[in-house]
Order: sequence, then C-alpha cells, then structure tokens
Amino acid sequence: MNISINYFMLMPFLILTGGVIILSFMGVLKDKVKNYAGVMASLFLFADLYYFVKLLSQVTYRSLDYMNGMVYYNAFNIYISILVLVCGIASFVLAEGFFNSEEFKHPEFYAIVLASITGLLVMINTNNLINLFIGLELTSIPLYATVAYLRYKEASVEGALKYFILGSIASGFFLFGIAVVYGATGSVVFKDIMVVKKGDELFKLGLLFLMVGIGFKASAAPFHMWTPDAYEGAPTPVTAFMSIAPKAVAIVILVKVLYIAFPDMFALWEKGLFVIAILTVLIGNFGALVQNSVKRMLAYSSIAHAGYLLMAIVAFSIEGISSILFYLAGYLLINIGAFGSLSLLKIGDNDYVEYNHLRGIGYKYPLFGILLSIFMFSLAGIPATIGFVGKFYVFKSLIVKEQYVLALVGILGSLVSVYYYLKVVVFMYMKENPEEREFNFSFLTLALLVLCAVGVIYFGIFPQGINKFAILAAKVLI
Amino acid sequence: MFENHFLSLITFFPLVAVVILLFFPSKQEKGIKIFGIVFSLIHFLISLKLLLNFDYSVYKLQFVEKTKWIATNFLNSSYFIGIDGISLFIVLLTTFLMPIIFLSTYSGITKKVKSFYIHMFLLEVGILGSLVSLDLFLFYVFWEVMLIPMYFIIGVWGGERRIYAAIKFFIYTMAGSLLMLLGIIYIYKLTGTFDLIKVYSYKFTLKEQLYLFAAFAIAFAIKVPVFPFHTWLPDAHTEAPTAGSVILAGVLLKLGTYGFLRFAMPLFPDAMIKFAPYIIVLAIIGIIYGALVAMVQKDIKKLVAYSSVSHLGYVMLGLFALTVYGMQGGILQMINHGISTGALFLLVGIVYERKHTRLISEYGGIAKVMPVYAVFFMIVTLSSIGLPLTNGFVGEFSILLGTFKSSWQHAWVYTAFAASGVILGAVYMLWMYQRVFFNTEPSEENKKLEDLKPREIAYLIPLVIMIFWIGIYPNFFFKRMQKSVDYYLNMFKAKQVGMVIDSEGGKK
Repeated sequence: MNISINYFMLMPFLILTGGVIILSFMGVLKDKVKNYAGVMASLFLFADLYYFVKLLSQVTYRSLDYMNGMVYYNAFNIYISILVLVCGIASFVLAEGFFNSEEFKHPEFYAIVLASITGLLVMINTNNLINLFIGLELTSIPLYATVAYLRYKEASVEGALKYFILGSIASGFFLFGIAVVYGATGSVVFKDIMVVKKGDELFKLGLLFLMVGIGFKASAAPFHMWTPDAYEGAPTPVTAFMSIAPKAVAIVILVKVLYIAFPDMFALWEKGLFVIAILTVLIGNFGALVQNSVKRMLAYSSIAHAGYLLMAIVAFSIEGISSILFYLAGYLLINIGAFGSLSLLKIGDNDYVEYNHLRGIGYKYPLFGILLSIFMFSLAGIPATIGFVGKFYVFKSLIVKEQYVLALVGILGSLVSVYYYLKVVVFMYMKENPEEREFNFSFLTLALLVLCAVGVIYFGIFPQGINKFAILAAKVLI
Repeated sequence: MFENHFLSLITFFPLVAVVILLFFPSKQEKGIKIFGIVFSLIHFLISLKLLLNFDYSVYKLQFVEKTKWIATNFLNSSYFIGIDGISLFIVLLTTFLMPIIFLSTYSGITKKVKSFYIHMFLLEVGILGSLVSLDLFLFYVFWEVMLIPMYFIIGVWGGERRIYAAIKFFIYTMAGSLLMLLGIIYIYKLTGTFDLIKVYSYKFTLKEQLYLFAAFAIAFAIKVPVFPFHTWLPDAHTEAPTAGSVILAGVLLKLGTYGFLRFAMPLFPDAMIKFAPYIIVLAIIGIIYGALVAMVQKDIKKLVAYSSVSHLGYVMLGLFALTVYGMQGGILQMINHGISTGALFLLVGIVYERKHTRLISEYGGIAKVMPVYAVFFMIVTLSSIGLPLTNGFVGEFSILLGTFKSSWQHAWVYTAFAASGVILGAVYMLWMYQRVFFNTEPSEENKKLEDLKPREIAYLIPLVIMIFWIGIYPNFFFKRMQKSVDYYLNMFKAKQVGMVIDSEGGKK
C-alpha cells in the first residue's frame, strides 16, 4: 500500500512541532538570542493563524478530510483553532510581561506551551477518537509542567501534582471510554459511530466514560476539584491560557462527541448534562463567593462559566452551538483581560493577589482600575459588554428550547456572581488606605489589555462581527 | 443634520461632556464644576425643543428614529427610539434636574470631582436612553448600564455605610432585571421581535401573560419600590451623596413606574387585571407603611427616603386605577415627586453641608437663624404634603379621584385608606418641620449656621416655580399627556378579554 503524505493538511501541526524543536534548542544560545524566544514562539502561532484564516475562506461550507477523519477541517474546527491560537499569542504576550523582570529567560517555557497548543489543535481538527486521545495527552502533559513552572513554590507544585493525578485518571477514563465504544461499534471515527444502532448497554458505559473524561478537562462539577488549586498555583499567564484554551476545546469536543457521534442518545446524555451543568454553575458561583484570593475567585468563576456553556450544550440546537462559540470568543477576550490584569500585580515572582491588595488601586493606577472594572462588569454580564451578549445568547437558546429550569439556575448564578465581581471593584475604588505596593506595569501587557477592553465593549455593542462566524461554524457542524 | 436625529442628540449629548471631561486636568476642580453646570444647562435648553415641537393633538410617537442595530439569525434588534406624552415629561424632568444638581454639588463634592461628573453624565445617558427606547433589547441595555454609574456614585461618594448600600442597591436591582431579561427573551421567542410597537399588537395567552407580567412587575416593583421590595431604598438614599439622592429620587425611581406603564401593563393587560388588586393593596400598604415609618425617623434624610416609598405608592395606585384621572394623576405625581422630593433632598443637603449631621434632634429653632431657608423648606414641605395651589395637591387629588371613580370592587375602600396617607403625610412632614425649625431656641452651635447663599437660592427657585406652576395651572401638563393616556387606556380596553375597565376609561 502506498500512502502519500499530504503536507498541506498536516501543515499547522508541522509548523508548531518545528517551533517546539527550535525553541527547545534556543535555551543553549546566548542570552541576547533568548530574549526573542517569545517573539519566535508567537511567530509560529501567527503562521498557523494565517494558515487557518486562509483555509476558512476556502472551506466555508465544505470540509477537508484526510485519512478518514484523522485530520478534518471545517468552519467549526477552524473557528475554535483560531480562538486557541489567539489565546496562545495573547498568553505569550502576558508571559513576556510576567517573566520579563526576572534574571533568566525562558525559551523552554514557550516550547512547552507550544507543544500544548499543538495538542489542542490535534484535538480540535480530528474526527477520530484515537487522535483525540493523542491530542488530549499532548495538551495535558505540557500543561502539568507549566503549572509547576515556578517549581520552588509550594503552591505551584501542589497544584500541578493534583492536576497531574486527577488529569491522568481522567485520561484513563477517556481511553477506557474509547475502548468500550470501539468494542461496541468496531470504529473510532465519529461518523461511523453515529450510524451504528445503539441498543447495547456497552454504549451507555462508553458514553459515560467519555463524558467523565472530558468533564474533567472542562472542569465541570463534580470533576472540578483540581481547578482552583491548579489555577492558583500556575504562573498567572499560564492560568490565563489554561482557563481559556483547554477549557474551550474540552467543551467543543464534548459538543462534537455528543452531537456527531451520539445524537441518537440525546435523551440519555441530556439528563446527565442537565445535572452536571446545574451543579457546575452553582458550585462555581458559590465557591467564588467565599474566596479571599482574587485568582482563586477567578478560578471558581471559570468553573461557573463552563457551567453556562454546558447548559447551552443541553439546548441541542444550532442556536445553542453558535451561542457557545460566541460565548467562547467573548470569554477569551474577558479572561485574557482579567488574568492579564492580575499578572501585572506581582512583586518579584509573587503573584498572589488578595482582595485586600487591591485597596485604592483604582486611584493609584487609573488605567489599570478602569480596565479591570470593565473586565469584571463584563464577566458579571452587564450590558454593553461582550459578556452580556454571550450570556444573552446562551439563555436565549435555553428558553427557545424551553429549558426554563436551566435558564433560571443560570440567572441565579449570574446574580450571585455579581457580588464577587463587584467586590473587586469595591476594593479598587471604595476602600481607603491602599497598601503600599509599587508595581512596574509592563507596557506590552497593558497594550494587550487595552485592546481586550476595546474588544469587550465594541463587540458588546456590535456583536454581529463575531456572531456571523459563530453561526456559520455552528451550521457546518450539524 | 440633527433634524432627524434630534432625540438621539438629546440622549447622547451628555456623552460629549464625558469625552470633554476626560481631557480636563483633574486638578481644575472649579473649571470642571462650572463646565458641568453650563453644559447641563445647555442640554436642558436644547431639550426644551422637545416640548415646543411636541404635537399633543393626536397620539403618535414623536421624534422617532429607527435603524437596524444588531441583525443576525438569532438576534434582531433595532435602534428604535421615540417619545410620547408619557415619557416626554420624565425626559424633561431629567434634563431639568441635572443643572440644579450640579449647582448644588458645587460645594458638596470635594473628592474626585472629575470622575463624579463623568459618572453623573453617564448616568444621565442611561436614564434618557431607557426612557426613549422602544426596543426591548435596547431598553434593557440602557436599563442595566444605568446601574453602574449609580453604583459608583453611592459607593465612592456616599456616607459611612456606602459600600453596603451600593452593593445592596446593585444586587436588588439586578435580581429584578435578570428576571425581566428572561421575560424579554421569552417574548422574543414568542413574537420574534423586540420592537415594542409590534409586540403590543401580539396576543399572548393568559398563562404566558401571567408569567411574563410577574417577571416584568418584579423588576419594576423593585425599582419603584413597591412595598415588600423597598428595603434597598432607605439605605441607598441615606448613604448616597445629595446629588445621588436627588437623581435617585427624582428620576431613577420613576423608571420603575414608567416601566409599569410602558411595558408591564400594556403588554400583558389580562395578567395586569388579575394582579392589579394585589398591586393596589401593596401600593396602599406602601403609602401607609412609608408614612408611618417616616414618622419615627430620627434622620431627616431617612424620613424623606421613606416618604418616597409613600409617594410612589400613590403613583402606583393612580396607574392601576385604570381611569383617565388616576393615570394622569399618576404620571403627574411622578414629576411632582421628582420636584418636591428632589428639593427636599437638596434642602437636607444644605444643612448637612453646614453641620454634618442630619439628626432632627441636633436642630431646633433654626427658623430664626435661617429664615430664607425656612421659607423654602416650608414651601417644599407643603408641596410634599399636597396643599392646594402646590403640585402635590393636583397629583394626589386626581389620583384619589381616579381611584374612587375606578370600577374596581370596593374602590372607595382603597380611596379611603389611600386618603389617610395624605393625613399621615402631613403629620410626619409638619412634625419634622416643627422639630427642626421651631420648638426651642436655637442652640449656641446652631446660631452660627449661615443662611442660604445666592447660589443655593438660585437652584431652589426653579423648583419652587415648578411647584406653583403645576399647582396652579396643571392643564399645561395634563393637555400634553391626555392623548397618550387615552391611547393606553384604549389599548387596555381593546386587548381586554374580560371587561373590567371603567366605561369612562376610554374617553373623557
């Protein structure tokens, strides 16, 4: 048998793999060269971004299939790939600002994150469960390492260990799920699984295992235990990345597995997701309510946001998917902003931020105060920000599908969330006696944050730009 | 070029001020204050054109603007604004109060002057926006956006317990709004449009109406506030700076009653009829409860705040009487309350600035020291009580008349209870007046209190003029809201399945 390799189809993975190799070797070069590690890494991402944007205009309503779903491009996959790449670039910018002041440079850091991004792209652009698993591992293992990147800090190591152990169990579940599904259908390709008639108990078991595995990665309750510790332990730029890209991909993979491979078992997984989504929203929001550390609060809030997204999956409609996609884009802007702001508040390499540390900071650093306020209001879903439009779409998709209970729980969650997001603003503007803490804000990070804030408001008032693509991508999927 | 976009100009004009203020050096506090006053005055003068060009001979939405805003598969919203006889006066009240507020804060606000003015102007945009929007989505956006500046105004420039008050205000209002958001989405699901005029003509089933009315009514009832939802109000009012209290009492609360009139009632008439008796009872409880609680307050500002609960009860009563008199009285009373209570808060602010206490017991006999102040306070007190020749009388009288004439069962009982609130109102206001201004000789400390400065007289005079104008010639206002009220009552009637409305309701 003669297999010719289609380099065009493999291009994005090849580019990033090349990037990983080159960056790993940059560590041995002179300091002067090492300074450009971040730029180098971003360039690889930009190259990929260019590839996907080009591809999007070619495939619009079509799809490109390579080796029976091993690599599979369509508008839906490309949309998510673009989000992940943008998120990667943004977190590299944050990382530049974050590690900049330290004595040594970190080319290997970028190499690790690039590897993780490669894994994410593999996960997204495939219709094959085995490939999905490879992508999952390629994503997770570098992430464990990045969480513990500041290895001399106890919290980082603890978070990473927790993440590693629980993540490995989740991977195990996922792999076992694949095995069971393969046993029942004789295939690992979504499309093949779809057409098989599923009467067997084995299917239910396989589906359950798959859902548990992905639920871990999406930090859905009750599989969220690792999230606060890992998020808090990780260096803030890594947290920014972790809270967006892998989570977005996990949610999207869940959508694909459920909608493409198991649409006929809707009645079954709907019930499960229904409970999980409600739990996630409640645990996320109430957990965030009682935190002292701002970063931990944001970690819990990201659990809550995953909950809203899971709700939209239950809606099971094109509108629901497009709302997920829109929400993710908005979430990208806001969370880069929120964690980016936090990453500025560090002294040396201590990036622990309590509410108390924010006292009066809005007056001391006006621009910073305004930016963080915008992100907080947006996370809380106040209109004229993209966070509101995202939530609006999600709730609307729920109501159209008559999922009133979910919509009400979602509303309750958002109401609770207002309290803890506002608390940040309260401390920034309404508490006196600021702590004497001086910060050196990195210009690059600030510029990125301004860009995010402008995006948050602009797309909050004129959401069509993103929404058009989201709907296009959603239509392609079903 | 603004001929076709005049209403947009009025709505977004304060944004121009915000942009200009951003470039002001924040050290130039005096310049900022004067700029704020002049700018808001210009804004008011321009907005008078709305009054002059308003055609009150027929009912139609005026100064209408409509363009596509968000157009996607799952969300279609247009930028659709316009005013009629109902919103006209509240819009004007807003622009009228702004220069007065700014004049009053000339000495009241001492810290972070620039951001205070920016927040005030942003708040004004939010208020005007929600008054003129005729698209549910647009309305919701403005309605929520309004919260943020108000939250900052209370939380940053407020009194001691400001943070508690600010958060309470925000969360209470947000709770209602989120329910309303679900309602709006549900309407969109049923009708496929956010366009208020189109939604008016849609026939909801009774069950849908009940749920939707409940969702909207809770949101608006919190804002008004109707009796059991009122607990945020005394805190917010007491802790807010004077300017914040004035705008809160003067305009923000009106958005609740306005919301009932514009959205909750005409959209879901059947449900409204079902709920109305309960709301009327709550309104009456609010009238009496507010008055009784006001009576025992030690703090003047808190007293005024509770009097708001009582006054807004009248407005709700008037609206739900579903008669021409009641509704007209209700709308007029919204404006009256904005003027009288606004003036009361300003007056309280004046002595607070001098003495830094609002406890009634700290004063006494100050009529001797501050005679001019005492006169102004008397006029406003009388207007708040509803003495003939003042605005309060006209409003309360037509509300009570409207309630009496309404076709609700036991309408006279409602009227009797509501009328007792008038007496209670006189009791708490006059008693407070007596304790503050007479009773004893002024204490040594109080003898040093300075009487009104020209600046303070300058901003009180327009309010007094309005008090007497409405009191003596209310027809000017009634005439302009007549057609709109008729239109709305007719609409209730037309959509009504079981006829409950007064036969007289339709035309006068």
